[in-house]
Amino acid sequence: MIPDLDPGRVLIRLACTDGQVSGVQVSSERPEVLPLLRGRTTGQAVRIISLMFALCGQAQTRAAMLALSAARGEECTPMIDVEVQREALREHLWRCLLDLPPLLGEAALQQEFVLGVKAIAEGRRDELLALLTRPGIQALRMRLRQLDDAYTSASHFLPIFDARNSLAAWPRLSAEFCRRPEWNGAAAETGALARKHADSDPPSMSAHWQARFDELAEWASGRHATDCVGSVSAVPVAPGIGRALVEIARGLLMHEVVLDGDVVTDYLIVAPTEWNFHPQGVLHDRLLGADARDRGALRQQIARLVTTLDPCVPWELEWA
Amino acid sequence: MCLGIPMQVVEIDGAFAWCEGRGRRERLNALLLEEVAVGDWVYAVLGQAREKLTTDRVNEISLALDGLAAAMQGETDLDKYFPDLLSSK
Repeated sequence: MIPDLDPGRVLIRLACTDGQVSGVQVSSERPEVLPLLRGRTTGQAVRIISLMFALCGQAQTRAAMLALSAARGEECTPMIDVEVQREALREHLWRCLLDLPPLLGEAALQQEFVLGVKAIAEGRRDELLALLTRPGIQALRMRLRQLDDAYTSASHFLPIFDARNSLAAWPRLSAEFCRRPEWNGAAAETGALARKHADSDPPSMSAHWQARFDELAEWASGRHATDCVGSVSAVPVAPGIGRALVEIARGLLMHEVVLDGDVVTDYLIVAPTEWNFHPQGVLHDRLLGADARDRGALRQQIARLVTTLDPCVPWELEWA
Repeated sequence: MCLGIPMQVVEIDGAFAWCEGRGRRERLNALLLEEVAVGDWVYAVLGQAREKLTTDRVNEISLALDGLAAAMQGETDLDKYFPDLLSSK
């Protein structure tokens, strides 16, 4: 018999009073991988992580290798990892050409997606650049404002961190931090828009999509810095403790490992979904007080918002 | 963190493929795969067929997922789910 495996979810629970959303609970639930990693050698831990994580497998495997090396004293200053970057750009392409058009009432741009994936995989920047200027994609970008709504959010953008300067913000990670990561005592968004250092006030949904298109265009034009998507870095936190940071499509990914000799005794992963779906984050802010008289319309609006924020697990909506 | 599940293609439906695995049946977007045929094994994540898998890799990933499920249910002896890892220790 196959053991039942719950892959986790983002759960949004809404309470409504007098036609308005009066309570918002956002929780991100996912399987805990620490029991699989504790007691393993460093080589085994990397192998398990590469087996377990599919959506950003290159990034997770790279983060694991760098964190384990850092635990043995090896620092990695910020650099672009080509494979991690390509994986992230492919994710952007999926969002922008397959997920976005239906939000605007259009068919997914399947042919353009296939061409774009090929161009990224082969490192053909000029082909991606030409693709992004096609009329269908340009028209899509022109219509992004239609996604914007009247809801607002007070949430902050997470600044760009590398592993070394992350130590000042978070000297050590903890299991509680992995579940509810915060910066300066508050929730913060991570991802393409945060990486642009954008101060869009309030951050609009269209700005998130423009930021993804911009990162694709920047790669296609050969313009990108070492702190952009695909950036990796690692730092020894203390003897036997290493931390790696990787900028993936959805935002900041952090791994921190504790070794006893060559054996893993603790392993902490902070994924971007925990930042972007924080209980006090952007979803909470935007939905509290929203018009709930038409639940179907509100559900559609939440679907657009969740797709824009792009969780790496399925999501569910419950009415309290 | 985003888990992938090995699933086997049972029917092609244009750019999509109906797939079965771990007791589920799903219609996956197969645009990332250059070719896909009934009987192929794919790595399924969030409605996407991410890559094709060999049967050896299917077995390895499936066993690892069994190990994760067992850990979630409180099992502590997980070595049997990672036989290849332990043999190369």
